[in-house]
Order: sequence, then structure tokens, then C-alpha cells
Amino acid sequence: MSGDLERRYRRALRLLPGYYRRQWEEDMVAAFMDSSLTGDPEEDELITDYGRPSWPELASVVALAARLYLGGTGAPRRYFTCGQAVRNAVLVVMLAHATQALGSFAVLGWERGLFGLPAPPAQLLGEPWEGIWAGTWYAVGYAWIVAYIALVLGYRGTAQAIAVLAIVPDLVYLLHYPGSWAWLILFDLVPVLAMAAFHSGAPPVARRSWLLALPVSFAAVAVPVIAIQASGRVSWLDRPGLFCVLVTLACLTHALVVRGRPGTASRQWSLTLILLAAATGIYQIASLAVDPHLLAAGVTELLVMAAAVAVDGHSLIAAWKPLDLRRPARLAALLGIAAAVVALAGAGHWHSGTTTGARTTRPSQAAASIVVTAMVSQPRTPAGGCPAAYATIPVPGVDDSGLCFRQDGTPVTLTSAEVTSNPTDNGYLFFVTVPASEAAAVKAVVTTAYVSHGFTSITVNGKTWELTKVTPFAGGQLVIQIPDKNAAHELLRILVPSS
Amino acid sequence: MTGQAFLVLTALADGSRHGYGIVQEVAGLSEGRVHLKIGSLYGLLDRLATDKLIEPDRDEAHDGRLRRYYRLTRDGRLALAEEAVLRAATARVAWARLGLPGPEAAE
Repeated sequence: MSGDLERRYRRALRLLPGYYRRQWEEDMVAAFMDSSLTGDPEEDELITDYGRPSWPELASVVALAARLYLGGTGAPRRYFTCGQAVRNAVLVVMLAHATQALGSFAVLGWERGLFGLPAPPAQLLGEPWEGIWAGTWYAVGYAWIVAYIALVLGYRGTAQAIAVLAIVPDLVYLLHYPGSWAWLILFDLVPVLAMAAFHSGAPPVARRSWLLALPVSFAAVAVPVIAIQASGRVSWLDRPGLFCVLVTLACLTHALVVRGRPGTASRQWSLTLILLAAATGIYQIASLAVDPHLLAAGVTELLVMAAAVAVDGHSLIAAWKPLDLRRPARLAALLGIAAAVVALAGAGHWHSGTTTGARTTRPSQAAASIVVTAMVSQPRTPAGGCPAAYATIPVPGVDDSGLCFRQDGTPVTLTSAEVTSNPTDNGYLFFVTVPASEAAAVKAVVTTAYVSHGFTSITVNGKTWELTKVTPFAGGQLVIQIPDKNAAHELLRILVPSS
Repeated sequence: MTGQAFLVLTALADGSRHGYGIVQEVAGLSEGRVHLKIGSLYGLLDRLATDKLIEPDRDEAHDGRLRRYYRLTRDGRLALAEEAVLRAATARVAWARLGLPGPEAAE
């Protein structure tokens, strides 16, 4: 004669692992029913028959489930392995963030002449930013270093709070330049939530090793990557590609180190690597470019990583219950689903309709003229049209701004300019080296736009590729930012058809 | 030892209690500030039982359900006593630094 309340509470308890339910479920239900009743028989009958568990009660069950699945000391082996793997994965992702922050700190030092080296190449610097906002932006990015150290030292709450703060730049960037959300979700939000695995029952973090890992990963990963980026041959090595390569190397190293003597720690690390590979794989698929060369490079990185994960974690993967390789029907179904996903993703990319491949990051002579124009803007009329002499300008990959534009002053046409491109997570930066004879004219156009609070447009082959409030122009280099990866590749093929 | 674990052990110090009984006792001990959710309570009980600080005492039927009662183990008593001494010492320092008479005097 159990009513709705008990049924609903038992359904919530199904979130908990089986071993735990066998021991505690009846007792929890009894205590919960006790706590729900008021002592007034009529009211109690109503509650028992039709009541629902309150949100705080359900939240406490969810928190308990998370804690049990991410088992700490004393938990059954499976759950402890799972907990350790998640804790390791969170530490690795936080280490990656901290290393990246240290890397950009190093580039900043290089730029300011701290190392006595010649000035770093422009593609390393990204957009030149000025003013207090840029300073705040960078400072917030460096917070990852503090968050990582706090987590290693066992201050989970502090680490979580600082990491939330450090996510803000990524979030603001995405809101400004719509791109893939995969990075924000997989490598910012999920790790911050997964820090719940560092609960009071979790074993303490091996402080010395993890603290030492930061300088080691800076020297072994950040410095080589910065050097490769500075040399300018990096179009295949964007961030998802780099992560694929790193996970691949980690899997192979781990497989070699533990060969023949599998132990508890090695199972934990195999699972850690599977988790990291899954996140990296989704991130890579979400950021695959349409460009056939880049697509081929991206898919190759993905497949090689999958193979490396299989080499290291095959025993764990085979033992995973839902997979159960002994059942041919299930295996066939899983393979079928995987093939369908790959086919759909591939079809989606090919359908977007690109033909010839072209990519370069080495400086090359632009094959088409680049026209730089200052623009003034007006909002559209209530009827949706433009004021006289104004017109809307479509920009590939950018939503309609609702503004109308008119040319402001004389445009500059760059007929001979050297172009370098640099892939970032959300599209490309193009660095245009302006001939000295044109530099003053370009500066005048950019300044006109800036002073009139207008826009600068970049037009190539009669098509406007960028329309922006501030166009960085320093040291004779004009920086064009194309957030849309496909538009960026189209422009790259126009400017550098030969590569 | 967390504050909640300290309260749960204190609730069991003078005799065995069942799940909801512990919730009520903890609410009373904390003067209504700590109201344990059932999920949090059984997370705590599971950990305390794993650490062998508490153990099941007996089952009693009530309204067609079994209520399981829990009691402190020897280790549980020791752990609670240690924690109580520690917390009392901190409290004494706090009172002294505030220039107040000891907690005993305030009773």
C-alpha cells in the first residue's frame, strides 16, 4: 500500500549504486517517510498518497550518488577506480589550463623583452589589446594557475571558485565570436563540476608530484609548442589537434610503462586516459574544419588517438559491462552506431561544399588586393530599410548586426602585401604586412574608424570579410580576425591559392 | 572530522537512535541550524560505519516498517571524545581572547 511519495523516493534512490542500495535503501526510505509525516493523520494520508520528495531531498540523493560513484578511500574497488580516474582527469585538465596560462605569461615576458630575444613573431601574440580590460582579461586567465595549485593543495572550494572566475574570458569570447561550445563545456564547465570528486572521503592528492608536474609540462609541452607556433608551421596543430597528439603520446607511454604488470594505479590511469580521450575526441570532432587538408589531418589525429587508447585501455574497455564484447549483437549495434555517427559527421562537412584545399601559415604574397575602408553606421529604419546612402553589408559567418553602413573617407587598396595566417580556436587571424608606402594610409583609415566610433571593413574580391570596431594595426601589421573557420579557409584560398 | 559528523556522533552519544531520530536530535543540538537531508545523513552514516565509528544496534517495527537503530562503537566514543576535547580547547581560547569568562561560567 505504498503511495506516490514512497514510489517517487525509491525511484530517486535508483541513482545510487547497487551495493549501497542493498545496504541502506530500506532504512533511507523509512527515515524519509518518517521525516515527511506531520502527525496529523488526514494530512499524512494525503502526503503519502500524492506527495513528492522536495528538491533539497532529491539534491541530497544526487550529491550522494556522485560521491559514491566517484568513490573515495574505503569504497568498493570499481567505484574507487572510477573516482581516482575522474580526480586524475580533473587534475590533468587543470594542469593543461595552468600550463597554457604559464605559456601566455612567457610570451608576454618575451614580448616585453625579458629574455633578451628578438621580438616574437606576430602570429604568437594574437590581437594586440590595450587598456584596463585587456589587462583584466589576461589576469583572469592566469587565475587557472592559482586554481590548479589550490586544488593540488586540497582547497577544493577555493579551486572551484577561482576556476569559475577563470572561465569568464572563454565565455565572453564565445558570446562575442560565436564558435564551438565544446571547449567551454568539456574543458571548463565539466572539470569544475567534476571537482566534486575531491570530497572529504577522497584520498589526498600527491602534492609533490602534481606541483612538480606544472614546471615539467611547461618545459616539455608549452615551450616546444610556442617554438613550433613561432616557426609558423602549425595549421594542423590547433588546440584540439595538440590535445589529440598529447593524449596519444600519454596512452602510448602509459602502455609501455605498465606493460605486463597491470596494477590498481595503472587501471586508474587507463580509465583517466579514456576519459581524456573521449573529451578530446568530441572537442576535435566539433572543431574539424571543412578544408579537406585540415579535415584529413584532424581525422588522422582522431584515429591515431583512438588506436592509442585501444592499445592502452583495451582490457578496461572490454570489461566495460554495457559494451560486453562477448555478445556479438551488441558489438555489431555499437559499431553500427559509431559508423553512422562518423558518416553523418563526414557527410555534414563534405556537404558544406568546399573543393580545393589550401592552407599555409608561412608568409606569402597575397594573390588578391585587400581593400581597407573606414565605415560609419546607422541603425535600420523602423521599416527595416536603410537610410539614404547607407546599405547593409553581409559578412560570412557573422549574424546580421542590424546596422547600415556608409563609406567614410578614402579606402586603401593593398595590391602587394605579405600574409600570414594563424589558426586559433575560433577561426583564424590573418596578419597582413603592409608595404611601408601604404602604412600611413592604412593607419589613417583605421584611426578614422576608431575616432568616429565607426567600423573598418576588409574587402577582398568584392566581398566584405570583416567589419569590426577596432582593427589592430601596429608595427606595419594589420590583423584581420575571421571567427568563422569556413569563411577563414575561403579567404585563405583567395589570398594564397598556390599553397 | 566535519561539523556534521561531529553532530551525528554527539546525537548517538547518550543512546542508540534511528535515522530520522538522528535528524531530529542534530536539529535540536544545533538549535535548528543544521537540518540534515536524508541523502546527506546516509552519506555520513555510511562513512562512519565504514570507519567503524558506529554500528547497527537493533531493528524495531514502526507503522509497518523496520526502523534500524545505530549506536556508537568503542572507536566512535574515542573519536568523539578526542574531537570534543579539541573543539572545547579552541572554544576556550576564543573566549579568552575575547576577554570573556569561560564557557562554563556562562552556563
